[in-house]
Amino acid sequence: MKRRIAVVEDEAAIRENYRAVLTRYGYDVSLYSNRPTAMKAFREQLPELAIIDVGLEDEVEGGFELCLELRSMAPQLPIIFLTARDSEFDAISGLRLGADDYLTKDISLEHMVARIVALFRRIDSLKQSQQNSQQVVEGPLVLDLDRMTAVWKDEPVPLTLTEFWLVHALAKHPGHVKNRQQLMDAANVVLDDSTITSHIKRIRKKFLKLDPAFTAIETIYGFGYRWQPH
Amino acid sequence: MRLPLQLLFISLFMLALPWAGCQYVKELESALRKGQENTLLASAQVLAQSLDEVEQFYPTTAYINQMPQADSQLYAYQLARPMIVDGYADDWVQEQQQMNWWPAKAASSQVQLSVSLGIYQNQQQVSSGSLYFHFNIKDNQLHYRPYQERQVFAADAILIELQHPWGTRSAYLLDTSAPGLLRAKEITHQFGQLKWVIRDDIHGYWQESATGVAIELQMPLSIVGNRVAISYLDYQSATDQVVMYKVGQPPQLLTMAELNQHLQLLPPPEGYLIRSKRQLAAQIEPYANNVDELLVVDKQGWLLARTYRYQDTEPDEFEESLSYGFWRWLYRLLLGDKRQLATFSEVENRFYNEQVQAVLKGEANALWYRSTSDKTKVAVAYPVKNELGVVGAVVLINSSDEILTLTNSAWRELLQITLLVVTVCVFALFGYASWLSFRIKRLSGLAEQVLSKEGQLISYFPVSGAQDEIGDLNRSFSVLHSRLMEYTHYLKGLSSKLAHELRTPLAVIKSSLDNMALEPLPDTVKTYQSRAIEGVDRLRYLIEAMSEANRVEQSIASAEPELFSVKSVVEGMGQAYQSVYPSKVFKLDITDNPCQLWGEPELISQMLDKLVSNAADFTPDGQQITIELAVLENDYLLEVSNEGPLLPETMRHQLFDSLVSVRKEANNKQHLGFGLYIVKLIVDFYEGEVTADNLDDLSGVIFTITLPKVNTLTMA
Repeated sequence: MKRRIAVVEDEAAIRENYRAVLTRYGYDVSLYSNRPTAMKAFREQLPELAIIDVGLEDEVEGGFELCLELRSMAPQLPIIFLTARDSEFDAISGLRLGADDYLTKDISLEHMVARIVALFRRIDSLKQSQQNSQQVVEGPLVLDLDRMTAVWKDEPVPLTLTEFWLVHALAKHPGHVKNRQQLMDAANVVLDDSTITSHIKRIRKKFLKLDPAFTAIETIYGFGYRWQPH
Repeated sequence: MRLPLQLLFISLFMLALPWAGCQYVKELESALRKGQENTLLASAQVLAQSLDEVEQFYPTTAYINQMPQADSQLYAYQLARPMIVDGYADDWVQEQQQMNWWPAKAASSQVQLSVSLGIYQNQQQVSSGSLYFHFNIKDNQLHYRPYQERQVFAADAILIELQHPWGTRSAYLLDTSAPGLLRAKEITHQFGQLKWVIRDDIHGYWQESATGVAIELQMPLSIVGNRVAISYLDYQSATDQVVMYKVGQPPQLLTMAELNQHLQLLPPPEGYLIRSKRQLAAQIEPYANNVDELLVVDKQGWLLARTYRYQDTEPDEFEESLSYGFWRWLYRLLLGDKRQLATFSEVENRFYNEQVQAVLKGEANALWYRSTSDKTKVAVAYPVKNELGVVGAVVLINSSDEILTLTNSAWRELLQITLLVVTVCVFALFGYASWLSFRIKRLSGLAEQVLSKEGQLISYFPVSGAQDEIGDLNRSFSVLHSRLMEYTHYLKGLSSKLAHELRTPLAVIKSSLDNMALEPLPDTVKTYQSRAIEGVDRLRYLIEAMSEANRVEQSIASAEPELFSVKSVVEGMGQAYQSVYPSKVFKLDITDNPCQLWGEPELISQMLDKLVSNAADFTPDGQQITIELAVLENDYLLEVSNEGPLLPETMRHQLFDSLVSVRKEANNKQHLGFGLYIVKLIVDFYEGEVTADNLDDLSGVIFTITLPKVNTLTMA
């Protein structure tokens, strides 16, 4: 059965382009141009993934509201923000509202599809709860590559997809310095330096919340970051 | 001219205030004078009307109709005590000190005669009294009566002719054989023969003087009539003739026969004996205290009665004081009391100046004059009339001292008050002007400060609450400033807004191209497609760059400061740059000090990135870029210098503004001029300073950044 993806986007051209590429990859895509029509449809039937633009027609932050409502309806539904806004503040807001990822619109369709695939994979593996999943273990860190979940000292770390890939890229080769380009490639994103920096910051914060003594991610100024071998 | 000076200058116009006051005082004075004149005139009128009995003025009514020449009249001064009859005028002089006599005179070239007359009357015994004569005769050839000479005229003599009111006439001759006591001879005639009788009651003294003779004579009043003629008979021994010098008449050469005939006929004397009138004096007495001086004159100006104000008050102390004099002087100076006051001819027995002459024609008038004691006085004259016409005049003289005192004190008060007011006003104006000027200066200072020397707008422009024009100006400036701020903000945000707006169409193109790549395309189209993708990527890079400054601002806003080592950041970055820019030579000169600093290390590395990228763009391949970190007393010093072209002078101040690129050479890399703007943002975040300069040896450019060791991010 085809997976149903809802795209809420007020720009018709982009909307149609997404539909084209997603259909090509075998998804069932429904398009909505604003929040009320999207919500109406969601109340009838929930999609399996929602891609939401932040600014929706006349609602400047309609996407955020939609995310909030959708999250309350379906706590487990993967949501991706896709927006022209690239400010740090918007990204944080979106992620706080429970979005699984926050992408800027200039991401290539290829990358976007990769995200979607990865998200579905995470959801599938969570549902299947396989025991023999592919894992990366680095000291107290356990990364489940199927479910795309991270555990630090037996406690789950709530990472977004991008964050998970970044942590994975670092932890796979502890002690190796990964520069920003390498990290971007690993995360399937095209981000500028400061975005990588803020991602790293957020990741650190998430770990620090669980373990105030967390120092595993080290900044090598001028080069990049590395995972301190345990 | 400065504002306070201008206002000070303008305030000088307030000096018109005392001037106006002066004019007012002047008006006041003239009004007071007029008032005084009128009062005096009224008094004079009343007085004059009460004095219309002609007998009080003249012996007979006929006198008025046939008035003799004034020159032949004789006026007898009222003496205060009897004279010593010794020929010396000492007692007269004493009596008449400072008195100006109207002299009764008769003269030729050889001989001069002047006579003073005086009457002494005992207050108790009015009937008994004496008439005194004092003759001063200039005659260089005196003739004394030869011894035993029986002829009536045989020597120089004084002839006094008298006529009594009842008509009888008598003549007295005074001559002597030698200087000394004199006896008068009454000339009588019997049968055509002149005789004389020695009169014991008329005696005198013949006193020779250097130029002639002085004769003093006493005569009982009882024998004195109302008409008198006095002559000096200069005896001409050679021809036995006599030259008769009669007072008021030209000299006459007479033979003895003619003289005899004259004495036999004894015509009535030309002139009258005029004396002050007791009755008149008593009549005007009650008025005396109202005026300084009160005079009654007859039609010829002879003084008939005179009273003075009884001086019982001490002179006002104020008037005497120096300050009074000063104020008066100043007043006179400023008011320009330039009236040439008439000097009043005050003679003791005749008062016959122009004013009196005018009055005697029947017109009352008033005259201001300056007295001999330099006091301003007013003389008001009023004619005394009866049915016969003008018979005389009353003259009231009053000094204007009261007015002067009044006006002077008014003037003094006025001047003091206005001076005080003017001073206060001038100071107030000056202070006000200074305050205004201070406010304007402050405003102008603020206006100058609006743009900092780096060309940045200050963030806050104080708004004045003052409700006046300067306050309005301040508010206008403030509005201007806030508009400018908004505009600058708009400009600053423009690129990021633009970037944001461009992102959506870019996404449209990009997603379309991505979709296109999934379709089977002919090779020719693929070429175009790859070019399109290339173009889109460049566009994306541009948009990225445009919003970078905005993102830096955001990350500054959301910065979470931590303590980090500037040294390790700079060192790490510096080492990395060699691999990033393999064609340049990097030289690191970094202190051993860890350079601990609170803040966001990422911002330091971002700043360094921008500086180095900027330097690398300018540095020709193979040339050196130097990164230096040093520790100063309060700051860390970070310098990035490169060899290469120098900075253009003109753009130096705008170097760190956004969208400013001073690059001359065309470069395939896109430069929007955000790099140094970001550097500036970050340096500001660290409260540091950044300057760009050419190297001393002009081999290149150096960017110097100082970062204070302690900033607001520092946590204790």
